[in-house]
Amino acid sequence: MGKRVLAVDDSKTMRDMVSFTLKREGFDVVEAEDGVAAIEKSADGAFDLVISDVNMPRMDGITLVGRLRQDPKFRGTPILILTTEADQEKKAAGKAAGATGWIVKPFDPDQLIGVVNRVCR
Amino acid sequence: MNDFEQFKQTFFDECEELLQQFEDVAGTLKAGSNDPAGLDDMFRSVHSIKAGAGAFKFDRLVKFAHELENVMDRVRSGRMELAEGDPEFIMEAGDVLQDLVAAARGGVEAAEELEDDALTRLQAMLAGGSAEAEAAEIEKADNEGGARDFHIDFRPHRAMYETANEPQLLFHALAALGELSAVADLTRLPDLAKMQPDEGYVSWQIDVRGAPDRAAIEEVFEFVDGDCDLTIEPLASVAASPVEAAVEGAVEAPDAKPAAKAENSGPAAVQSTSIRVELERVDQLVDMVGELVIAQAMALDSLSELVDIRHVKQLQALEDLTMRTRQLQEGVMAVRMQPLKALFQRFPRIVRDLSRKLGKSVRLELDGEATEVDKTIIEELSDPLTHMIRNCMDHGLETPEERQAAGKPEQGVVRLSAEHRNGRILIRVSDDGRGLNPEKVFNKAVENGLIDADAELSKEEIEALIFMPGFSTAAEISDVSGRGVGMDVVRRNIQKLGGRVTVESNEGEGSTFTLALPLTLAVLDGMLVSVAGERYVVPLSAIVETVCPDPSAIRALPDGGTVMPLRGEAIRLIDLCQSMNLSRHGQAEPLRKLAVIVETEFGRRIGLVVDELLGQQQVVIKSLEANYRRIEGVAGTAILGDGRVRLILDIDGLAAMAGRNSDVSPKSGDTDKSEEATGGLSA
Repeated sequence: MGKRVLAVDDSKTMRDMVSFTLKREGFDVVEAEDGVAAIEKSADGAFDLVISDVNMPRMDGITLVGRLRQDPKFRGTPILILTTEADQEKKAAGKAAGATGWIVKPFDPDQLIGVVNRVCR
Repeated sequence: MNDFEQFKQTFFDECEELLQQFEDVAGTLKAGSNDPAGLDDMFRSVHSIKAGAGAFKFDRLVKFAHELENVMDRVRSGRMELAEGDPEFIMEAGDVLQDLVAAARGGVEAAEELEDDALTRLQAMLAGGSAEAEAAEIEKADNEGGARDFHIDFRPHRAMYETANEPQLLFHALAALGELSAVADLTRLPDLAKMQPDEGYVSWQIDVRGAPDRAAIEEVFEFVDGDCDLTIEPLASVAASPVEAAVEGAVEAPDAKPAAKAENSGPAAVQSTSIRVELERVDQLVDMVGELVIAQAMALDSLSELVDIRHVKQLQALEDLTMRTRQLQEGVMAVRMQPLKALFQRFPRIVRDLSRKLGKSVRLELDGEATEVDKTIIEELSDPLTHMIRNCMDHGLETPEERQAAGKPEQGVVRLSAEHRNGRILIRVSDDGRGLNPEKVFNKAVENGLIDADAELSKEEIEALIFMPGFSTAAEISDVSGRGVGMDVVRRNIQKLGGRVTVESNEGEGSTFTLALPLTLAVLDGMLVSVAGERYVVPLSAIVETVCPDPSAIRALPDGGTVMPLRGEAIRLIDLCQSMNLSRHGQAEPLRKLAVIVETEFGRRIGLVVDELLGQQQVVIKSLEANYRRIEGVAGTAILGDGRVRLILDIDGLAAMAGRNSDVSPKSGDTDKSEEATGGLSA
């Protein structure tokens, strides 16, 4: 059974890319288009990894991270946020909310897998 | 080859939506404060474009989007306020972004200077903004002189565990860099009873030998920086007692994650409220359903002799099949339907730009944006509608001075509305401007040789003259509406879509252009008629009424044609038998023929003389041009229930053929030209 990943991004391109890369590595990927949708999907069960964009309509990634960390199911789940370049503010805010780490956009498949392997085994 | 290449199409499709979203809000921006939700949308649009562009290495696009994103970020967070002229600039920046996306999509390099000005201005906005100017990160040269062996003192805090970072994974990452040895310091570990599971009791002394550089090690600890005490030093500077105990145990520590998740981890269920499908696939489906409709009609036709009480079950089943087929067809057609919103949203921008150019204050009112229309029709409507709106603003609306003099509010109104009516889409473009002056229009048409000076035309017929090729009433040709190559092209485009355009105008009050379009290009509601044993389909939309003319009231015209009176109006009759060169093979003509009164694009009525009306039928249009060639008087073909191909009549084409020697307007000779492009339904 592959590990379950929740990929959250309002951009379909990004979701597709994350999804494609992780599925190829044997993950089961569940997609959500924003924080609200992610919360809904998180209700169905635990995940082994969450990858979330930061800027999204309805509920942003930072809020999502905070909310997930409150959920006992997600207490030990690595959560990665997708940020751009050197957005230290977002990284810090994500960290403060409980994010495990971040993936800097743009990324290529190897970079994504590299980061995922650093937080998830 | 980047693995992400395959997502380019999705990316560009998405870009279109994002650019539209950006433009929608950009059109509403004003100096000072703005709607925060809208600004958020704009920011996110640019942000998403940038992120995707980065994955595909569209560097210029990334660079430009980056600056624009920064500006939008400051604006939305209130750190920057839009000054006078900024809203217009941001709109232009949106255009540049669009051009860069288009260039990336086309795989071409955009002109060097495309984004230069906008980029400079964006950077100036950022520099002039808050003091938080982008501090360039200067990478510090590694002052350890290329050291490869490091000693690491690592003491995790509770916070590190709270963010689900695990030491063992860090050790894995370090082990991948070089030879690893580590010693755990367990001295702070309390009694089991007092232990808090989240607390960081354990610390490590780690040696890594042969790592690429310090940065590589720092990267491993990137996510836990701040959540631990961490010192990284070149090994040589540490008291030379290499850590002995390997941390294989820690590295190979069994996965501590609960196994209970297994039952929840079924296959990933990707849920979405919409999917993207290639148009080609939808069209194949439309085609197949079209064939199904034909097959079903054929079945119905061949089984019609079963109409008998003994076969009531079969007939019921057939009826059911007919209904389901129709539903399926409608369902499939609905897939191609899109709201007009995307199209309508372009116009506020056009109106704004143009009103500035013309020096007229114009308010655009939109209505019925949710109305759904076939995708192809929407695409084809863009040019005609743009032209009509420009026309309204340029020719229809008066200058502010003229409006004041006429006692009208200075601001003119252009209204664009859409609605479904009787299975057709009605789109109206109206203005509250000067309206058409019938006398002027008439004189102009005479002047341009479109009609004879003594022609007697009704107000509607005169108004319809503006759709004639070469007609232009603007005293001065402006660069806005062009040289009278306008409304005739509009009309032709609309006709190609199987639609009609009409104008209604009251002098001094304004004009209303109405486009009546089919909901879809693939099917047509037709009336099946028969003439001399042949069957034809007359588009139902053109039919006004059907009469049975009194043979004694039919009058011959000098040109050989005939007319019949109908409520005081002389209706020209077109004998389909003649027009289609049919032979009755000695069979007698029916005693009383029928005249199907149809209306042409000019609002002119003509009577098609046929033998019999066979009934109404929805037919699937097959293009004649695509399969054979264009035939005058024929708009397309349809396969009917008897399996035979029938021609769909092109009313305007027929009127033109018959009107060629006529002195009824429009004037002969020019008629050819004006009617040349009619017909040709495509499917």
